[in-house]
Amino acid sequence: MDKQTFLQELDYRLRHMPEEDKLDAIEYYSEYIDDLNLPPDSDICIHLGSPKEVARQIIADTTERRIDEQQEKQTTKGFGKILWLTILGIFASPIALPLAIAAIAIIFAGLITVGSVVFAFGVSGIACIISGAAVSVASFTAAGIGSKLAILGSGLFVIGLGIMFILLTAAMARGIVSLISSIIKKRIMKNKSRKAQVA
Amino acid sequence: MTYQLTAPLLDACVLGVVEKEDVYGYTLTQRVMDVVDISESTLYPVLRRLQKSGLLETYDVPYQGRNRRYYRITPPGREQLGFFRSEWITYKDNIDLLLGVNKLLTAN
Repeated sequence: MDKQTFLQELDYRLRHMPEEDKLDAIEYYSEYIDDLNLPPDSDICIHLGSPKEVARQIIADTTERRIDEQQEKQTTKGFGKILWLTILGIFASPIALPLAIAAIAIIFAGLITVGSVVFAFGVSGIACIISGAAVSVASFTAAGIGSKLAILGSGLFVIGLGIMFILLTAAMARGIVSLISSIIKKRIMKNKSRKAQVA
Repeated sequence: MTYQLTAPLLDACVLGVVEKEDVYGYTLTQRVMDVVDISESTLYPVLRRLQKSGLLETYDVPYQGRNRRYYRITPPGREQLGFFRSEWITYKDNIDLLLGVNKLLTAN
């Protein structure tokens, strides 16, 4: 293979390289072949190997360097990149965002419902205590010892009912709080163990 | 040759040759080939890499109606060569210990 053919084929093999890198390589080998001082009609490939092999060495080295550079960039910008991708992913996704909103709304509605039931129990308890107390006090104005005692008894009964309602309310509230906190804890533990597995 | 040159060692050899005097591709290749077993197309990627990372710089000198590209070592190149030298001494000493080269020398 003569110089011109060799360089033409090298140029073709390096066609995907940046123009500057390709020209530098061609110049280097053009100069090198001149320096070999070969007699005309001698085969350059005996010295340099085929243009394909020469090109492969150049491309392999450039690719290696580029991968190194990219890896460096990734380690320094990794966290910011992930954060951005997450935010973009949420906003760019046409299905996930409405679904997420719906899920949050359902959870919120459930919390409100449970909360209002607990609240209702508590209010009824307080109402029972107040009305029971009022009836007990009012029982003294009733005529006759029999009706006095009957009304006082029903008043005390309602106060007792009210106290039971309040105890029930407190128990429910405690139950709900511990349920929610255990769900959150499990989530955090799961995330931690997942992170530990990744690491 | 039994032992293969790795990429950093090749970088070190090229920096070592260029530090002594500015050279162009052909003479550099011949000088390294005299000592170690490399092909004639091995050194171009090495030179390009060292040039791109600022350890070598080039200048053209007209020669017989064409240009010859000479390579010259830069201050960061000298620094890197110093690092390569100290690394090489550590490495060589350790291998000497493993191979028992020193024992052989003292026995003789």
